[in-house]
Amino acid sequence: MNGLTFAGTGGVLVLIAYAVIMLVIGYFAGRGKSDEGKTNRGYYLTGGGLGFVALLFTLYATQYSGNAIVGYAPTAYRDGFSWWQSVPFMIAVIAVYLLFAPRLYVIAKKQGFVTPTDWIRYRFGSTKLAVLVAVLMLWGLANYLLEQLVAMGQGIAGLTGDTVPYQIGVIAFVLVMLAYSWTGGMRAVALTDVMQGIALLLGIGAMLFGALYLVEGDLAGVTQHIAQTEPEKAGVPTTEDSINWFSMILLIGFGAAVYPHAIQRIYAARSERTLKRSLAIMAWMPLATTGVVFVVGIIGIQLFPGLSTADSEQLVGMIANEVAGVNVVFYVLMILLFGGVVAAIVSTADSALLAFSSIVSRDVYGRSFGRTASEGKQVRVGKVAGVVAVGVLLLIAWNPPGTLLSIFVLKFELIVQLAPVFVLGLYWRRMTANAAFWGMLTGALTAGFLSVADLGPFYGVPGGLAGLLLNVAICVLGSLASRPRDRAGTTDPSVPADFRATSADPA
Amino acid sequence: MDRRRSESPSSTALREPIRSPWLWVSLVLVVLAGVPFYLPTGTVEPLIGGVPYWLVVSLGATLAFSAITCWACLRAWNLAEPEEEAAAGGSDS
Repeated sequence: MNGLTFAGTGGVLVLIAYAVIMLVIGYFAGRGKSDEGKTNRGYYLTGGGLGFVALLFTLYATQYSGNAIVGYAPTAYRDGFSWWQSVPFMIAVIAVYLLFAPRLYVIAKKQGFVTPTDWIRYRFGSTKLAVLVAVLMLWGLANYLLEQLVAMGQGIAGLTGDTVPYQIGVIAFVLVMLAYSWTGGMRAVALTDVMQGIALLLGIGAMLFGALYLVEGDLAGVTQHIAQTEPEKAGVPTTEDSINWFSMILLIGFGAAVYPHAIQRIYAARSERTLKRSLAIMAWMPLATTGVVFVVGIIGIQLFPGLSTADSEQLVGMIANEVAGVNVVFYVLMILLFGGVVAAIVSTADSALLAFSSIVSRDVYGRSFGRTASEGKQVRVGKVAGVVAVGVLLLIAWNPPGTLLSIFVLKFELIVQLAPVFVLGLYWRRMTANAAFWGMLTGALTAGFLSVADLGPFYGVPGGLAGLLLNVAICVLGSLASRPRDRAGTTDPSVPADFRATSADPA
Repeated sequence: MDRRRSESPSSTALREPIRSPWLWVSLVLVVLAGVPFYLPTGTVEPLIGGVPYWLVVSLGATLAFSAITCWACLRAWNLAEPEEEAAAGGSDS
């Protein structure tokens, strides 16, 4: 999105306004809640008190990052109509929540969970498995955060036509994000998500309106044009592409649902009623988000035919430039769009950062050097670790790697390996810690190797899903093959009786 | 791990999505219906409202996917709510 000419002072003003609003919300979120910041559950989960509006918007703004706009529109441009898959794969995230969130919510409330690792310790009683889960989560979150920082810099530079350079833009918004996260924790993150989610929806609406204006509202004409000029983008996908479509539904569905910050929003819900009402609405949001972005990407095929892969990455910026040149109303709309993109990026980054800090506080420091430290100190250590991590990631972000989507897939391939311990672990008592550990490790190494070696997809099946299938197979076969006395994790007295295996256990 | 606590006055109303096999059968079917693997590769026409027929089919399946998921959130899930509502006096918003 670099090189935009439409923006400038207007973009800077919008960004300053957004930054001020975020800081004000963060200030009020933290004010009068000093006790909340002294406990892990208070700071990282608002003490489990998120109401309907805050929970809905924090689920929304966290799940849809700026990548859902600036990365997905170019993919629709390149892949054509088969990128409609971006809608069902985002709905699948909510469907996968239905597999485990209802029961996990009940247990988390009773046991006072803070991080996803708390569930692992409760269920499996295995330090080895908990450490592996924490490492994978920290790795995935760091990568996720890095992607957001890269996108943040590009978005801000694009919005301001490079009036605000990439590095300055990132540092400014990172400081804003750190300030409100530091003072208000999850409460500030969730409340700023309300504003950021609204900005994202407004931005997407503005982008659709602008793109439709450019083609005079003739969507049927666009699709007919594509069918005539680039029929391969309009035709029924090949069998391999269909398998990849289905694989993406599984990969994104399971991967996004078990992201640490996604799981923590289950823990943070004020009540079951609040959680299920929020998720019920979230089941429709892909149509209003990735569905709309898909339409814009398709319109781009007619507006800017023949772009290379690298050039197509600038599609949203190109459309915005065209639209902004129409008149002052469209100019303002496009500033709203880029404000929405930046808000979406910040809202995803702050959630990932908070989850990162919580894992350091609770699972790393709280289980090692800080075993006897007060919860207040654990929270402070997590906050500082978050700031240090952002500093390190900023250094990496100056040289952004690859296209946005390729980074996105790389994260999912590893995070999705956590799915079996949540979905299978909740319902299958016979599942053992050892099988879960070796399944997860094998799945993660397989997926990581395939990604690094740039191997796959295999007849449409991405490496991450191949790793997950291997992971599940090892979990199931390993658990079935274990004798009761070998089930070290599940005979541990620290494991709740509900999950303790006996020789009489049914599979 | 059975959360159908018999002591709850509303135990008969307790529901968990994982326990509804037909729900998952329906979800798998609409997901599969939305992936056009069963249609002839490369075909575009007939266009329906200017849109390739297969995309209209996929769009319909996607709407059904959202609708069933939304319905399941609201109607097939009721584990802690009776207890929470009783404790809070139904004041949660």
